[in-house]
Amino acid sequence: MTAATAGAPAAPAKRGFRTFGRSGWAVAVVSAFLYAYHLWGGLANLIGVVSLLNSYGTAPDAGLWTLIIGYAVVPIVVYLAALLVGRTLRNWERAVVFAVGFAVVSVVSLSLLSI
Amino acid sequence: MSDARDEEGLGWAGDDDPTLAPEVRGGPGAAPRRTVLDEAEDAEDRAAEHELEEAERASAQLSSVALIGLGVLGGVYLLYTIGWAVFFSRYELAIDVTFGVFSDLIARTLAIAAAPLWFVATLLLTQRRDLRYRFLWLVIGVLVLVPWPFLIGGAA
Repeated sequence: MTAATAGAPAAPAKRGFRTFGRSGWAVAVVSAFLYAYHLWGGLANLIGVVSLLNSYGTAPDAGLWTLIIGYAVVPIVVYLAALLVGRTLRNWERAVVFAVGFAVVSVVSLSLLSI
Repeated sequence: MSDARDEEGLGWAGDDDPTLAPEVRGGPGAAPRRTVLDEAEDAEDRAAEHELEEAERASAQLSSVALIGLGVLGGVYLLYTIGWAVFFSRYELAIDVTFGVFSDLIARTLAIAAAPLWFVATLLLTQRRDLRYRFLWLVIGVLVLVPWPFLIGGAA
C-alpha cells in the first residue's frame, strides 16, 4: 500500500533537489520533526510489543515482526515519498504535500493495526 | 412617381462633380495590393482563432467525461471520510487519558482529515499539469486511503 505512494512521481524528474533552495529545505526539516512524532510512536510500539512478549517468555513470530516493523517504518517511507513528489513543485506546494503525507501516515498506521 | 423636382431635396448641387468621388488607389483595374502588415494581421487572426478552438476543445473535454470521473472519485473520497469518521466514533475513550490515548485520538482525527486533504491537495497541485496526472493521483489516493479498520469492523 505504501509502495503505491512511493512509486509514481508526479512528473519526470527534470529538476532535482537543487531547486529546493534554503526555504525548501526549511520546509523539509520542519516536516521531518513533525513526522518524527509518528516515528516515535511506531518505535515505542515496536519496543513495547517486543518487551511485553519477552516478559511472557516468547518472541514475536514472522508476521508480527513484519507488522510492527512496518508500523515503525511507515513515517519514513511516506516522508521520503513526499520529498520525492515535492521535487518538481513550488515551495508552498511542498508544504501541502508534507501536510497530506502527515495525515496519510495515520491512515496507513491505523490500517496496519486493524489487520 | 418621382420626378426630378422631388429628388432635388435629396441632393446637393454639384454632387456629380468627378473630383468628389472617393479616391481609388492605384487607379481603376488595379487590385488593392496586400502589404506585409496585412499579411501579419491575417496570420495573427488565424493564430488567435486556432488558439480559441483549442481552448474550447480542452474545456469541452473537461466538462463531459472528466467531470463525471471527478464526481465519481469525489464520491469515493467522501465515503472514505465517512468510513474514517465512523471508525473514530467507535472509539471508547478510556477513563484515565494517558499520552497513549491522546496520541491515538490524534491519529484517528488525522485519519478523518486525510481523504479530503488528499482530494483538495490533488486538485490544487495538478492545476497546471495534464489532466492525466490529476486522475493518476486521485486513483493512488483511492488505493492508499481505504478505511480498512472500518471495513474489517474490528474495534481496534
